[in-house]
Amino acid sequence: MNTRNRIYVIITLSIAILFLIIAIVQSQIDSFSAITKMTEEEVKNFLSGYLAGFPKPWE
Amino acid sequence: MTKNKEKNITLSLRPITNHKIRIVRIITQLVIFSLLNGLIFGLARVSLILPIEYPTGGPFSTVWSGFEALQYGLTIFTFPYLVIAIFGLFGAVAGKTTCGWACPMGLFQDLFSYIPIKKKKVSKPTEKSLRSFAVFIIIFALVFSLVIGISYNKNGSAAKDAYGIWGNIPYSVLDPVATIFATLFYYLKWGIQAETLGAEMGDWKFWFIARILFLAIILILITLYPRAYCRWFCPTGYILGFFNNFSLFGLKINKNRCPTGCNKCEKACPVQVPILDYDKNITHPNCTNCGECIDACPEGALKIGFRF
Ligand code: SF4
Ligand code: SF4
Ligand code: SF4
Repeated sequence: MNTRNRIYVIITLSIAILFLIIAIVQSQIDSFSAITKMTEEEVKNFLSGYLAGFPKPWE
Repeated sequence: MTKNKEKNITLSLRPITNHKIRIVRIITQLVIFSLLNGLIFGLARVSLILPIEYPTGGPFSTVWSGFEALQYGLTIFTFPYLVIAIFGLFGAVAGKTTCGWACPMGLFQDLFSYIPIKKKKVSKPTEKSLRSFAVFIIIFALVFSLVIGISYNKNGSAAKDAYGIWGNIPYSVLDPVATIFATLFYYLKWGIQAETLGAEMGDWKFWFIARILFLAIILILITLYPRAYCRWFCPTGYILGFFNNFSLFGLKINKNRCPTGCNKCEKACPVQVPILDYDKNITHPNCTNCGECIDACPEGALKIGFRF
């Protein structure tokens, strides 16, 4: 690996770690945790894109 | 044991001993696939984000797919620090290794590549131009998500709901990975009921037909061109492929051990990486560190390792 790539990898890792810290401080994980508490029906409605144009026998 | 018998046993074992890495890799892929479908074994959904292609809302999915999380984050108008950090960490450390060893869509394509039909190759310029499909998908998904996010920020969740099927994860409406592992899975789970089939067919709408067509095209492509979805369409793979240029771990070639240039490695590579064009580190965006080339090299000139 040449020096330029070493600098790239160090910069990328620093930005990633910085962003990870910001995300933890902002509790961004909470935005994604909604799905962990959903029932199967709620997941289907939340992600209705998967079933677009699809006959929904459970409705 | 006679010499002849011994020779026969060695010969019959050769396919196994010649594919040591492949065997370890397939076992790893299957174990990870089971964990990603952990709802079957009573595991719970978790808010973990991984840079793989697997629909977050699949019937048994346990984790968030990175690219879906990226779109969802934008639709609720948050700067996606977390998702960028995940892509950055996985990418800078291991490049596209998750594609070779963890991604369910990668495993699915690997299985398709075993269909005994003569595989086709594309020229280098064609390979490069076909990759623009992935760029198009990334731009479409991110711009659309941001537009939804801006209206959500202005007018609240009613504005987001107005986008209907596109509202949470725009690309999921067409995503063939979601079609395989979520749409069809839900449908199979519910079951096709013969007596009402006619009525249901009448209900099938434009987007359903569109996504089935897109899936059909992808299935044909991945049968003829191994990992065609990874190479030309996958947004996650495109983003991770960029990190192959400087990732800490990756494939290396020792040219001193490769005097003949026998080309067995390039022939074994499922994603057409021009391995011999590189002097030391193989940084091609298609390389998933799958190790097929290492298995194929008779001289032991290739290895995956630390490249810093
Ligand atoms: S390129 Fe995409 S589909 Fe292919 S293995 Fe990687 S994440 Fe999965
Ligand atoms: S270059 Fe080797 S490790 Fe990389 S994708 Fe091809 S066969 Fe796999
Ligand atoms: S298979 Fe090994 S020896 Fe043959 S060309 Fe590739 S690296 Fe060189």
